[in-house]
Amino acid sequence: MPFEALDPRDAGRLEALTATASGAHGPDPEACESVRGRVDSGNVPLLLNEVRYALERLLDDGTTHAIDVRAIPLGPGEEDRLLDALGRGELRAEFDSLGRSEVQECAYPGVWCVTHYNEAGHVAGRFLEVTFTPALLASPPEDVRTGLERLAAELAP
Amino acid sequence: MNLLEFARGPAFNFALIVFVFGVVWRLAGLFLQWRRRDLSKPRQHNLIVAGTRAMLMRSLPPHELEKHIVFQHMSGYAWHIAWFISLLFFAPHLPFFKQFLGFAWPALPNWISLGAGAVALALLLTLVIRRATNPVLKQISTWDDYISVVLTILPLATGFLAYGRLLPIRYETLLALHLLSICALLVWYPFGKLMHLFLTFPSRFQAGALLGRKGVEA
Amino acid sequence: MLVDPRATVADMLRARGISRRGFMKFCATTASLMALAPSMTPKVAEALQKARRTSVIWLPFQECTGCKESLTRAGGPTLENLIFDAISLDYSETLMAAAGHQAEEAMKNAIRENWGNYLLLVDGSLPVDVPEYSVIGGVSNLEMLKEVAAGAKAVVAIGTCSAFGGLPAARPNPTGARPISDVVKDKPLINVPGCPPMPIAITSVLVHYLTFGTLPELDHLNRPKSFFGQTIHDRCYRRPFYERGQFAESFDDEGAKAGWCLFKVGCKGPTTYNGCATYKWNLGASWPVESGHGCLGCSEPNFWDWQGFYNPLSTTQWGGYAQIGAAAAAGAAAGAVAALAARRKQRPVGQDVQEEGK
Repeated sequence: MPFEALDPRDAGRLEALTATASGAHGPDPEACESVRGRVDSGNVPLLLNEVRYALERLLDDGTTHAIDVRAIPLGPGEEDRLLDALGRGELRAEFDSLGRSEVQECAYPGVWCVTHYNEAGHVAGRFLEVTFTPALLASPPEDVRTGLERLAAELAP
Repeated sequence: MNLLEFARGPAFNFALIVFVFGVVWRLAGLFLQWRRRDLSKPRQHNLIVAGTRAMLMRSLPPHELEKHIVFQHMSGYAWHIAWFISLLFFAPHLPFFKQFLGFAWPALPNWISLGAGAVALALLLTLVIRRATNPVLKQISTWDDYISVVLTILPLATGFLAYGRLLPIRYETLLALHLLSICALLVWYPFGKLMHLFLTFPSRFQAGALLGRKGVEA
Repeated sequence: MLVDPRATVADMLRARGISRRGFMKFCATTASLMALAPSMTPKVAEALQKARRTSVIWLPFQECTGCKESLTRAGGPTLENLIFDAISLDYSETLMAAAGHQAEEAMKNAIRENWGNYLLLVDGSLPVDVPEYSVIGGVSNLEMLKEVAAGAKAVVAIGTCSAFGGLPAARPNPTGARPISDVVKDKPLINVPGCPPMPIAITSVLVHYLTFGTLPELDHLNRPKSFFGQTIHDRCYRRPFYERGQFAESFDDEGAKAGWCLFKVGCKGPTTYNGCATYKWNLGASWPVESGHGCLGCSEPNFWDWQGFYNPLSTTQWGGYAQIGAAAAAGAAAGAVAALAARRKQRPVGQDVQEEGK
């Protein structure tokens, strides 16, 4: 697989992987592909099923659910396959606080992929949230209060 | 030193020494003890044929008793074969043999080796229960029979417990118990009826040859 | 940075201009660090609102600094590193700017001011038999540990050396190296082993203490269950190959290339409790098994000595052919004597008949 075909978020990871695996000979994309493609821990379908049942519960009684993707043992390439399987929906939001964060609606409405990056641009956390609206999208009352104070100060004669 | 270190190290080493010493002692003791010279005139000269014949014929159920002992006989064969398949062809066991021999052989897929182990375990449990409940078998069973069969069951049982994590015990403890059960088997081996692994065929051969010499069809 | 000692972690973040949303992000990644379910994030937020900075003293004994490398090179300015703003690292010879008497002075002050409340981190083992082998500012490690541990709220042994003795305690153990637990008996002790430990395992203990003011739940070797609760094998993505009986037989065969189980080339995953399979190393780039090498078992006691790294777990430590040969020879001798004795008792055929006839 040529490097440019990869999701940019994983280019760093893949580089590190190939650099470790192939030592002085430089990255070997073919070897990489063979590892990424063939290893299957079986966890991806399990996670997708977990999401499915969470969606059913969300519709039934509004129970929300979240999965910490980094706390699941996934083989090489499996995180990509999971995210590929969930796809990308129409909504995407970003905010910048302690590094960038990205809230991406998946192709299945009600499933959100929340990725937190640190200030160096590395993934610091990735969560799948099954909810109607991720809490991070709402303005927190504390910030609303500070904003209000700021606006009031601006308007003060 | 934790239990696994003890099992893999001193315990196994001790068991192996006892096993080798005991087996060689008993075999040497038996083979070096020549029979008294028989001065009578032999009725049959080809004793190798007589011996081999007896060795093979006695591996089949005697015709007259066949229908009464068919279960005992066939299940005996079945669990022996299954037991050895799981011992010799379960993939994680192969490094164990390689450490002594310097080479190994291809393993069988897990479903075969583990399936064989399950068959052996089920049959052995059935047979030991039968031995303890059947009035005739009960009469003719000795401590040696029970000890030997239990020590044969334990490695299978602990092996499955370790492989499948069937108890809420840490894996290293289960693995240690599996190894210790093998140590127990090795230590007991030369001194009980388990020695039949080495003695069954020589003794059948010898009986056949001796009887043949006397002109008896064995 | 001068920080008000009464400031909470939330105050500290707010002072840095971090929004509530940023704080919640911090809480979510913190919960993840502690291996808590994402649903625990609000609890973490609540606790961090009130959490105050904690004084930490880090003592280095017989060690290689690999543990500190692991922690501080976790990768640029990370969220995890914010934890270090939230603790007050009052003494760490390797990391602090001060040196010599100034450093010793800083430690004494921190101990005096926070007596009974500071967290003591230790990496490296203790040369108990010959304390003179490792001395800082004229004070032996053993003496220093006893002194500093006396005022600590809890002691955290970072790395396999301080937790279990590690490499310094490997045979023949020339310094008589011992783990911290041999000396610290009357304080809560947490072991965070690994050679080095995963950075996340170290920070999770600090974060747990900072957040909840308590120590995480520990296993029988005093390791946090959140990271050391399951074996590498339990969580290994190559486990399905083990179940199917598909093994690499060497490091360059087809099985190895196909990513099969490394049990037969000596992987200690089934008996090693650590989080590598889940959290991975180098910012999640890879981990030993993913890179094609079996687990060495570095977070287990005595990992260096207890068997070769390339001996499969199903092998044993038998005594070698010479020993087996000796056992066989002894057996043969005993058998020969027994056979000889039995033959002496034999009478020639016919003699018994003659005797009976007399």
